[in-house]
Amino acid sequence: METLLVIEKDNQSQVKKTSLELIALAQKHSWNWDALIYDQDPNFKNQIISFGPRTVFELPGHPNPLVAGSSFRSWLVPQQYSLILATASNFHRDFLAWAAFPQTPTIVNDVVSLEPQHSSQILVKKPLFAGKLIGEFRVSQRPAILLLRPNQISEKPTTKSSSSTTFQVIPQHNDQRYQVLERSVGTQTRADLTEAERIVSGGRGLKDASNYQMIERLASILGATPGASRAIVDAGWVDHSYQVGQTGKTVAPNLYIAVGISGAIQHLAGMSGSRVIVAINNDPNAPIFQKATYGIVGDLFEVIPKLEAKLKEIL
Amino acid sequence: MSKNIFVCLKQVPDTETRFKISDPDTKFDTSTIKWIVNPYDEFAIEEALKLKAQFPDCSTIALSGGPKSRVGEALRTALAMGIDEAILLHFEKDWPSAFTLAKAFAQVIRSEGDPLVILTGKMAIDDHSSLFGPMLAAALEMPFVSLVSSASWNSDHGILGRELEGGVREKVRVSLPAVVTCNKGLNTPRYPSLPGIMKAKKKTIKEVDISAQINVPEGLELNRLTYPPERPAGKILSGSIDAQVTELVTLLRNEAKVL
Ligand SMILES: Cc1cc2nc3c(=O)[nH]c(=O)nc-3n(C[C@H](O)[C@H](O)[C@H](O)COP(=O)(O)OP(=O)(O)OC[C@H]3O[C@@H](n4cnc5c(N)ncnc54)[C@H](O)[C@@H]3O)c2cc1C
Repeated sequence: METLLVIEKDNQSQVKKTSLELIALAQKHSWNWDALIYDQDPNFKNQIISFGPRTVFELPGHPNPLVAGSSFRSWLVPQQYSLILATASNFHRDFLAWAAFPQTPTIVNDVVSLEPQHSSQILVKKPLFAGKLIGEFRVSQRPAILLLRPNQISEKPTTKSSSSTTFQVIPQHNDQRYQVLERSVGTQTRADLTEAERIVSGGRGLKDASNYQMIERLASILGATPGASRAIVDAGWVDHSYQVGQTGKTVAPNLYIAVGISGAIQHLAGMSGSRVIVAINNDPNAPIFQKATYGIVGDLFEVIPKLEAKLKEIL
Repeated sequence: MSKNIFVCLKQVPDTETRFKISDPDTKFDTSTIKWIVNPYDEFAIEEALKLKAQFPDCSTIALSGGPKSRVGEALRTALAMGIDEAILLHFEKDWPSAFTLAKAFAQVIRSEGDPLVILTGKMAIDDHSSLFGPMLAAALEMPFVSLVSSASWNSDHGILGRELEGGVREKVRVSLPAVVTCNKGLNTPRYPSLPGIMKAKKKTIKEVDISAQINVPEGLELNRLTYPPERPAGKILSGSIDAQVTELVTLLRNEAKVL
């Protein structure tokens, strides 16, 4: 299958882990693949070449989804791809949905699995209602744009020795109607909740905004991203971008630690896809324990400092 | 300036809903479902009302798509909050693609004409797709700005704040007309007032049947619905807190292998 993979760079000039998942998927299925990048870093480009793409296309316009989208749209028309794969993220949704209209109408967000079928169809699964149900969709139109949820592919890509990768720049289409006036680099260096491999979330059990630093501290020991229940977002303790759940972020880390969170249905919907769930709550009847892999029934103010100390010993 | 401020809203199952897949397995039991206005679309409604206060000659028009047997209620909520007019885009199909939907909505918006801005939520909490906004913009050949959590409006442009992954903040200038998708933080949606509710009851909701546009074969069809995999029963630890913490760390390391 002719495939185009949108490949991103991480903060260390390396190929982002979520992009490595896409490459591993293409290699697993022996698809012919090209890369689409929007970063010129030479180290990053060299690393991509090592995985053996045919061509690397450079898309101008990041972070402007209108410019990137319009440039991509006109370039895409004569291409022969069956599949375009990107990690599900805001920028990708924006520029790809914009570019998809009207020539490439099939686009699916939040794909968690993808199985090519014999009859040139692809079966894709995506969570509905933040994971309360899973929808299995048949994709039959080409090209199809699939946005993959991070942390779904465990394989790692392999490097290829011989490589005759070529580079091409996609012509830029300017669009003055959208102008980025300011862009502040986030203060966080850690992964976004939707991409994080580990998450520590806090809830109302923390009692006071100032105690959220316990969550931040535990998260930093674990290299995890801190998250929150809606209760403490609404209370103004943390920003909405921290919220996990049906009206927040749907997350699927390897490890999710819920501290002082009751496990309301809207919260569970957003995090039940996590591989290992740890619940720390002093109420043995809290619904979070029904989803927990491991549970500690106890006062978080006693448990967390001890857990921190123990983790510091071994990590 | 007498232009139209459009709000596209979606009716979705209440967040408390527990779903039961029915027969055929492409459907779920809707008999007990309580339907609500998608929470992010409430920010869009509120922003439309704020715009109307700033530009009183403009009209606010709410659009919602879906079966006419239920979607009218969502539009009544918007009217009760203070929206001037409502249009119901009738179709029965479950999970039409963002593409098909955007094309049909674009056609209705074009025929109403004179858009100042088109507002909608940053995502719908049923499919979490966030594709409708940008696709609608593309169908209308307008710019769009997603995830907007602060806004100041002029008659021909907006200065909009948005927040992205990793805490990145952006300030964007967008020419109007534009499609804008609204995030929490943009405003505080008002509750419908009692007089508002009474007035909304008397208003007529215009109906447009878009079934023909929606019931087209698509490259994307729902095959079936399934439940998420059951989680195996967990271990609730016991003993002193010290013992539990030690056991937890051992389990995370040796059994779950996540440390
Ligand atoms: C439309 C709608 C959308 C929603 N969307 C979301 C969403 O996206 N995400 C979300 O999270 N919620 C959402 N909610 C809110 C949800 O219903 C709950 O209200 C919320 O998740 C509760 O947050 P909490 O668990 O922090 O607080 P609580 O339910 O108050 O739970 C606090 C927990 O802390 C425990 N605790 C207290 N003290 C201690 C202690 N000393 N040590 C240990 N444990 C302690 C308690 O036993 C309790 O279980 C939504 C609600 C609605 C109506």
